[in-house]
Amino acid sequence: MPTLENKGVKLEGKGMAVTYKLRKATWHDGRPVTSDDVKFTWQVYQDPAVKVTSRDGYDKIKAIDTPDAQTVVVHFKEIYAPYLGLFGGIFPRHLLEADLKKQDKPGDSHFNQSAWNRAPVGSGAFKFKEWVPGDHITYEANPAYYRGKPKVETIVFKIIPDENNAYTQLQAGAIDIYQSAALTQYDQLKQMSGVVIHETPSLSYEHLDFNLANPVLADVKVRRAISMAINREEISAKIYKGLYKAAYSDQSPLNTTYYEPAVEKLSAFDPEGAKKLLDEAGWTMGADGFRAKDGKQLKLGIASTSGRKPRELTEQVMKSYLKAVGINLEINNVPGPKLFGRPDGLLYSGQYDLGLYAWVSNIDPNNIFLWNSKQHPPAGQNYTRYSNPEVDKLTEAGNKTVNTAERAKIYKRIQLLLAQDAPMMPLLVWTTLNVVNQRIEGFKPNPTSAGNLWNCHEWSIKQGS
Amino acid sequence: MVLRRFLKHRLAVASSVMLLVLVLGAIIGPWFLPAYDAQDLSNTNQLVPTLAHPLGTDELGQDVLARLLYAGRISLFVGLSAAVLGVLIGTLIGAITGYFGKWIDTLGMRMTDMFLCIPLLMLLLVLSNFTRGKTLVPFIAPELQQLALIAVIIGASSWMGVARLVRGEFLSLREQEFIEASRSVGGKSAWIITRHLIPNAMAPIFVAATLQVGEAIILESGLSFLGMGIQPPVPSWGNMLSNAQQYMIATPWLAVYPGIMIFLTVVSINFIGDGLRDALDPKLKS
Amino acid sequence: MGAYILRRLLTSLPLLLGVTLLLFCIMHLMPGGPLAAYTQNPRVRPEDLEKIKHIMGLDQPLYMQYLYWLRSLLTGNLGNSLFTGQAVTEMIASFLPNTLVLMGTSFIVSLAIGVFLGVMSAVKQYTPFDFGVTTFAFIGYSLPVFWFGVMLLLLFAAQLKWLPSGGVHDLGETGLLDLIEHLVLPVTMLSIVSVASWSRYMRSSMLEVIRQEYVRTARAKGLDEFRVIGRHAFRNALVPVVTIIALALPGIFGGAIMTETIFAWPGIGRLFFDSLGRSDYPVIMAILTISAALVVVSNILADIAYAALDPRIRYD
Repeated sequence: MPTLENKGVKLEGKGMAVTYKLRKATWHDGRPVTSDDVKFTWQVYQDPAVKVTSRDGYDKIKAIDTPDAQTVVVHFKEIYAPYLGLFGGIFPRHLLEADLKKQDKPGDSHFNQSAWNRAPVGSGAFKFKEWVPGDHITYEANPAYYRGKPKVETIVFKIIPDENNAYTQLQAGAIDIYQSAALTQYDQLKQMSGVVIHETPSLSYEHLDFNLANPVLADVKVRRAISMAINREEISAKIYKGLYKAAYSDQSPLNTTYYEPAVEKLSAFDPEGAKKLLDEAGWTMGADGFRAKDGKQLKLGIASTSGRKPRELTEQVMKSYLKAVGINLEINNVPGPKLFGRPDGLLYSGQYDLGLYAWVSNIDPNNIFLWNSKQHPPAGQNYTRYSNPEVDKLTEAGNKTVNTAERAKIYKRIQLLLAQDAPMMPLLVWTTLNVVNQRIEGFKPNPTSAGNLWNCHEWSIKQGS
Repeated sequence: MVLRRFLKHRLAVASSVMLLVLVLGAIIGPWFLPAYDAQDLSNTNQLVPTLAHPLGTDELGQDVLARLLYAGRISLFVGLSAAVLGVLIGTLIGAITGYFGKWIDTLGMRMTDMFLCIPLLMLLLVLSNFTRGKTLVPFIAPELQQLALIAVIIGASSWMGVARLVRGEFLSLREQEFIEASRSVGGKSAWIITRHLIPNAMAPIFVAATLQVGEAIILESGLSFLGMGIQPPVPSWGNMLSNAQQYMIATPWLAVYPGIMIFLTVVSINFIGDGLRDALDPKLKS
Repeated sequence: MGAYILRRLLTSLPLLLGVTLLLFCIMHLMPGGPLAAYTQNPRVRPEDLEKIKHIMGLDQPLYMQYLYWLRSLLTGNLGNSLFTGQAVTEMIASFLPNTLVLMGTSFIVSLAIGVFLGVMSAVKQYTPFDFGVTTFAFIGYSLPVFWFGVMLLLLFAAQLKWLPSGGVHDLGETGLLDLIEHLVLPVTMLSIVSVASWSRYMRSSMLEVIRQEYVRTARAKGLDEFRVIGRHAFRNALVPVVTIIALALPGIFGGAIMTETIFAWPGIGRLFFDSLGRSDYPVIMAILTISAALVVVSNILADIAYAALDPRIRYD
């Protein structure tokens, strides 16, 4: 991994240069993976005719040099600290260049419709063999894999839309690995014989967004009161069987370099404290059991994506927690597009009070798009409409600091400020359940975007089974 | 006479009693039970019946019986209003097309054909996906909005059968003497339709309406089962079932109750419809 | 006959056109509209959204968009899925066979059982058998099918473990026996309602025929009961039922949504439901159009079958 410390990253003028050394590897068709493929990948991300989900970071690149087939030097226009998040996957130039150049309509590259999307050629431990849509995808071992030939011959991904079905198939031995198993089946899975349950903390976390554009929620006392009235530990224990752990920060606790443990004390469950804060804010208890100010009841709506059971249960429990401190919570769930869509989605257009959904944090702590005041919609993803000049400065500085220790200081400070201002209440860190038949050896789940397959070349099937 | 014939249909009579019990249970029951959303997180997923919770509790410690009966109110209300709406629309379209004939008939029937061309469940799913969370029905309290919405969606998608039925009745009735007579003395169309034709076509419409209630209940619960109908925390039989399905490996019995309730309600309604058909229109007896 | 079929097909075209127009309008009123799959992703930039809109022709007026869509439909191009990027025709082609297997089996099973039960209960009118069939029909007709499916899954797959709980095949299996094993539960679920209602129709149609003059004459001539029922009554009783059966086809198609969701059957119904969740508008539109076409075709089939079975009807 190139860093400032090991000279893989060099500052040049206002920008910087990152040097990657590629391992000797080949694509599944036998051609070598070269530095030119990396450059091609950047070109794909930069091509306006390609529909890509995000060009973030790639647009900060000025040029890419390929001094030899194994060396890539990426020149950035400016300091871009989250550079490690780029180039997670590389495209083979020799297979895709023709599709990139071909335009179906002016300004619409054939890249998105490329046959490669359905029969990809990669460089990993397993190569693509067959895809039956909606049913399964088959991969077979790649003997030329650079870390050695995999021990298992084929891996079949079965697509099972129904959790009960996945459960019975695991039980019957029709599948060996049940990825992201349903939490509701946890107790029964524990009793199932012949399987091992892997509980892996994930980088995703549930959180409650406050819409600061709402005058009621603009008052930090109300936001903090809500955070203090909700018992994360109980939600974790009762609804998520203790699998999802209470969360207190927008940075993952797994990210020990950047995580600030002090925030845990700042926002602990304290319903009496919440009542006091609401009193201070001028919301007085009425005869109907709800607080009011100037004749208006303290009533807030909560929006989430409909149809997600544990989340619906969480909302129902929150309703009782908030009722206990005198807040009337109304559940208004909507389908995903109505919540996340643009321009008329509730979050983007600011037509919500409280929003319950999940974010995926990254190994890199960059969170400028969430908290910087320049990122209020329509510019960015700061759906809470949070602004704090100090956080603005810190988030900008964070992206321009390459020194890890200095960066850590910046992001720890941001976490403390967020805990005080409470624009968002972190609720629970997800846990992924992967249930594996005992006959499979070497399965080691991985919470990052590398996924559970990162070491699949080491998996093996126990002899005699 | 009609009543006596109906009383002879033993299954229909038994069904009427059953339906009455179900309806009264749904209306009165919740008054004597804990609130449907009274949570008790210390007492979740309890199977053993107790005095406090005769059917046990669910994953939030809520009383299953209370939810089941409250859901009955919701499902019966939605089913009944959807059926009434569907029958009203159907009667209106059938009456107009059947009475006026000519191009109006062609237009109306082509429209009916168009709606019949889209599989009902697909139409309902698309419509509810697009109207969810919207306030479409005026003059109704916000917490009842979603009920009204689902009822409107189901009603607006299931009028075609009644429309055809009424049209057929009208086509044969309007040639009869008393209609001719009424028209010749200068009776207005609207008057003839409401005073003569509809009363004469009432028997089959009434039977169809009864059966439609059962169908609407199944449709509502199906939509809710697929997550596109009544949204929690308000319980309906369909969403209780879909909720139970998520916990099916852990607590399978929760899936049994709502299904039995739907089944008992619908089977009673169907038997009553059968009895009504026999009683109102002896010719139709099969 | 050929001319008649052609005429029916031609007159159905305006109907289909009307249906597509209706569907098109509904789709464009959906939240987020056809672009929902992209607008939901906060990292797609507004300028890219505009570009995608332009490429997909969504900046054109609605009637132009409809005409464009119609034009591509006529050339056999249903667009690309917004979710997988795959051509919609290709996607449907890979899901449709599974649905056809499921529907076809269920159709044959319902037909065989429904007609058999109907005929038998008519012949043995007012016997315990007839009473049993009638009761069964009412039960089947009133069952919430999805609940029935869930119960089947719970009982036979999860508890007793007699049958597989879902999918078309076990891993690595392709055999017919394996397929049949996987078909049992979904077919049972999908057939229960049609068996119930078809047996009712068959029963009343059969009763009507038996009472008629020529059947009595045949009996009076001393023909044995089996031949009277099999030859004369059955064929005539089938005529009205055929129409009802053909008209029930789209219902089976719609029922596939529930069945395929519960039994993890990779078919059109599930593709439809999943696409609805993802707002994958080209796929939804294509499936709705195909179902509408299916309805029209089954209407025509009903008429043809009617003509083929009833010697009194001729379409010239």
